[in-house]
Amino acid sequence: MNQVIEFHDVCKRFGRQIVLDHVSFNVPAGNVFALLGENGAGKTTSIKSMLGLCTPESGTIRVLGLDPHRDGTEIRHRVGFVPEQPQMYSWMKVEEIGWFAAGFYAEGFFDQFIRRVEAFHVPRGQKIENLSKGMRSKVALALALSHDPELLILDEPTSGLDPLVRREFLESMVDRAATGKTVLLASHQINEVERVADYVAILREGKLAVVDRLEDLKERLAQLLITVRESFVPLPDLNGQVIHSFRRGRQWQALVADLTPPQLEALRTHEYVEAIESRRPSLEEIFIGYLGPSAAALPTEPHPSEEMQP
Amino acid sequence: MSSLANPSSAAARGFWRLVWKEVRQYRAVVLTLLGTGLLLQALFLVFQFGSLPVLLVAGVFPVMCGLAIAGTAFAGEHDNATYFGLRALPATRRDILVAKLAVAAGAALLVFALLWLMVFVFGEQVIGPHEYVADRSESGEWVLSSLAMVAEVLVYGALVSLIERNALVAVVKTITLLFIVRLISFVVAYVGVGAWVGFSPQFHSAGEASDAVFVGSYLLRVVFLAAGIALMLRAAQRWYVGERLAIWPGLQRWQEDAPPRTYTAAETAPGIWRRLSWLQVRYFGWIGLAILGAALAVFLWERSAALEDMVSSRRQIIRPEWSIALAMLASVLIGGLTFRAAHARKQLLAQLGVPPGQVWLTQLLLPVAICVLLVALFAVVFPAVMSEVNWSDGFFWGFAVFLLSFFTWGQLCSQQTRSTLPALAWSGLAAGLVGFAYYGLYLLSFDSPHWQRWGAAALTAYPLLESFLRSPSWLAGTGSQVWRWIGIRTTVFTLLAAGLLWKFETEIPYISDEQIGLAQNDGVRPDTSRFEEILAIASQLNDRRRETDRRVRSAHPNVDVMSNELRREIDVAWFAACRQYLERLLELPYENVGVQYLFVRDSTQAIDYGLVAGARNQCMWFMRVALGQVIDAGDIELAERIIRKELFLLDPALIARWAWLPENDSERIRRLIRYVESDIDPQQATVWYRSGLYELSIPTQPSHRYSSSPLLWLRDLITVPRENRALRQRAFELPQAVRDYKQAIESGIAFYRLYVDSEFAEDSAGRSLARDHYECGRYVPYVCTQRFVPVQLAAIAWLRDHPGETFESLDQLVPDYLANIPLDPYTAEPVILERDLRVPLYPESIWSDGASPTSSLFLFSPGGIGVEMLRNLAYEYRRKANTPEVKPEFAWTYMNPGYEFRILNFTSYATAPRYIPPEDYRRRIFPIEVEGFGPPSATNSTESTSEESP
Repeated sequence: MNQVIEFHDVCKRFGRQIVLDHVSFNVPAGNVFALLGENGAGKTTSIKSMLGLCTPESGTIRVLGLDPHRDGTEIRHRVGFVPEQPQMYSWMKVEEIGWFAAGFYAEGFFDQFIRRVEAFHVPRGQKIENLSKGMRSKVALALALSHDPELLILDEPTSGLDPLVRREFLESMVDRAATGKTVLLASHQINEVERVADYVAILREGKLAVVDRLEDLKERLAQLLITVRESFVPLPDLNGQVIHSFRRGRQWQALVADLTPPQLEALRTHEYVEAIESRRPSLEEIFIGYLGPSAAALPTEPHPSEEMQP
Repeated sequence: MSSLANPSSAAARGFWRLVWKEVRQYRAVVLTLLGTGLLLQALFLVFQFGSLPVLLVAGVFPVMCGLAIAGTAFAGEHDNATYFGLRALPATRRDILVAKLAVAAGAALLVFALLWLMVFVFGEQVIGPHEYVADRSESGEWVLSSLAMVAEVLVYGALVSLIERNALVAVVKTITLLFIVRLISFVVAYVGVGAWVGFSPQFHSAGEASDAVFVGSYLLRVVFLAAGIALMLRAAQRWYVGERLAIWPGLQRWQEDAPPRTYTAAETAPGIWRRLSWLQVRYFGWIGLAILGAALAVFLWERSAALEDMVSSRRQIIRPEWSIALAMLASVLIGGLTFRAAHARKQLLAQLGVPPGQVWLTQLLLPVAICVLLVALFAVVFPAVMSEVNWSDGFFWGFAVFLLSFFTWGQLCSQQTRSTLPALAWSGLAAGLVGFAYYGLYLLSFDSPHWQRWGAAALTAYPLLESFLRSPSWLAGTGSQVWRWIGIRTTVFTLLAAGLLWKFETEIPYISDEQIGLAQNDGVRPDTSRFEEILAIASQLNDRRRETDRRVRSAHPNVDVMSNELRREIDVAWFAACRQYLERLLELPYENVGVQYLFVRDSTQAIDYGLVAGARNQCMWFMRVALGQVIDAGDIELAERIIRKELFLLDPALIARWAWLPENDSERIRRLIRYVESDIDPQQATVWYRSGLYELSIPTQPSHRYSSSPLLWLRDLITVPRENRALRQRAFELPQAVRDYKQAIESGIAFYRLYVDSEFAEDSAGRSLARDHYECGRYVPYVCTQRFVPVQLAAIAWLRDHPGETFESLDQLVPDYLANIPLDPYTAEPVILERDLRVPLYPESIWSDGASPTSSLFLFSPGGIGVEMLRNLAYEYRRKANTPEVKPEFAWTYMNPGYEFRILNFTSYATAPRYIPPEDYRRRIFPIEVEGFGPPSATNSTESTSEESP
């Protein structure tokens, strides 16, 4: 499959802090790719690296077949980008910022921009400083989409949008993917991502925890609810496939990878296991599973459930 | 690729959009600076403020414009949170850099062009066509200097702005960098040239050395500029990829390893004192470090033994007034920034429930410490540097309070204003008002110095109190209507007080006519209405001077740079007019025009009648030179008549010159003594003193402080225009003059000094006197001088009658030559005579207490006895640490073994004509052969003659 973005063994550090630690992944064309991770995991740094706004210490990055370090301007020509906090000149009017940005793209940008802001019901004569956060997000979206980019990179795109626009916007992302364009999302809104994402990558402390097609990931993982006979009984051995687990009273919850039916059956017949439930995990559970503390580090004493929350 | 995206066709359009963005962003700044500059220029031109303000505006405003734009262009993107958005555009690094620099340069050049155009078109009346040409010897140097400075601020501003992430910090650091570059350039060139000249002094003239220093420092600035451009390009590269330029990678690593800058509420909660203080240290630390660094540099500079023996041109860098101004500016800036760091975190602090008082105190502690540091630095370092400043105790503490007041008012403005620049603007305005209020206090405190002290304390403490009381509403982010009104009232009150003081200053005479009459002891002063007549003559004289100036200039239309000869032509014409003026004064029907009366009656009239009374130094100087010409022309009768008009008794040098004329005999001098004595009856002199009108402490002729020392002349060596080689040759004679003078002193010639004891600080009613009172400071020196004149004349007459002898005390002059010994107005005791004194030749020397001014050594016109008031004779005179201690004897003297008359300060030095005495002048002025005093020996005479030729 044609790869729009190729990350290969990318490392980046700020001072002593390692932000990206040997990260490798590919983003295939015509898909919605979700980049997930907690705060400071390296999502924004990855995006900056793709756009040529930040230079990694090692590794190679290719975006649309170009090297961001060398061809950053060309990449930004062909990519639409919405930053996490839209940073625009507050003294400009909406139509002025569209006119300003249109200078960097081919003819037609400004008309497209005006159509989009009008569709978003953003007053074009209003100054940016007088717009609400949501309105600013809409202006940023309009700026990113007006040149019909091959790749759309969105850092928390729906932040500040009202539910109606959010839904409409997300659906338009799926439509874009259907037309062969690629969308890269970095978001905390797991539920929304789950609805639209084809691929998911989860970053944890600069390292890539997992990257896979969402459907494949859900197929591969299982969310187990195991009820044991006594509260002091540890989680039965699952041959090291447990990604994340925690105990609430006599119940263990575990996210398990590649669990085969015989293994599940064996677990059911375990002497300390009273009951077991298995189901497909949601993306949120996968996210928590990969970002939560490891099973080995879990305390043996029962913990309040809220401590396990992300 | 998208059908819409077409990078190649959009590249040029994108660049111009970037330019548009920059123009829009800085439009207000440019228009403000341009408008202000043009307005000021118009005011200065219409009201003819003189050339300096006009040139200053035209020269400095383009630099300010370049600094404001280039210094904030890149860091401002961080401040406005648009940095990432800008870089996310498909704009190349080159486009962004060039667009920003082009707008900065274009705006600066626009301001430059319009302001200078205004000067060229309308400035001829004020400046004259010759002064704004590219010639460093004239004020037209401003044109090139301004352009060079614009280039420097553009490069250094962009460089710093690319590295820094706060626009204000970037601007401050740019200014600092500019100063550092200039200082380093000059020091390196100076030391290098010094070594070059020092190793082979016989092959070099001072002119060459001066040239080399200037050329070297300019070349170094060019080298620094080139390095700055290279660094700027590199910094732009790093900026574009979100990284800072690491000029010193080790420092960057250290910074990277430092604790993170932002803290969460949970992290901030414990140890709030420590964390608040830490925030302040992070914010203000660099200011403190900068001050310490500057102090260290000054300290090292001062102690630099290598430079000490060279010409003392350092004073043109570390000028005391610069240091004072910088300290005041720093104080305003620190005050204006006090609460800056807290505004961003105010909400967090409020959420944490930190008590307002605690936040307030923490915000103040470090800035206060920095201000105290400033004051301490002045106490320790700067008095030694600024040896010309009269750092009496009162002055120093007054200055310290002044700085602290600036700070406290600044912090109040900082607390009440949320943005940095308005806070600084308000802070500056408050500083101006405070300065004015202090002046008012100063004027009002002549009755009681305590009034001034308490007023100053209130003026300093009030803003602290108000900002403390406002702390809760400030922290809560709620405005208080009551406090707003109080703030307005404060401003109105300050303005009102300032207005009242101004009215007081301009309309209320300080000294009544009766009191003046009492002071003069004649009880009869001329009718003041007659002064209008004199003033009319003076106005005509002034008009004539201007006409002369215009006539000479129009006669030489092709002369761009006014030569010394041309200036001299103007001055000669002016002297002729002065002489006519003197003669017309003599035609006035009354005796004794009453210069001193005019001078002290009140300040406004003193200025109005300045031409008559000689309150303006320049006019007085011209008059003296004119009188000197009368004397040298041998017109004794006319000279005596002029002197009897009391016009020029103020100048002992002229009296002495007159008295030494061979046509004068002792009887003629005695006649003059009697005339003078009759006017200032020394036995009655204490009357006016006891009336409590005057407080006596200012040294005589304070305006000469900067120009009086021969070694300070050496400073001027380095600033003599390189084109004017003849003038430079003359300047080069000065070190020889100093050596000759030293030799003369060491050869045992007798020097007399008369002085009064200004330590007596109580009047007969037991009231303490404010020593530095302005009005009295102006008046008293002339009274003292006048009292010494009879002694001086008597001494000359005695020496004429007793060839080969010297008198040991003033008693020998009484009663044959002097009716009475004049009284010291401080003590009502006879004035003191000393002789056989040694004269310190090192003006950079300090007194043992480190705070007293160094000696000022006058080489006045031939003959005469000096007049000086010393503050404290107990000071031990010592030289700098690396030279041997000398005897703790010191003195000032005006006694001059025969050096010609020169105008020594820089501004007039270049243009002043020399007083050239007749051929046999030296023979005539020392007609008495007295061993060790009076006429120089044959050897000395030869040396002196050779020295006269330029």
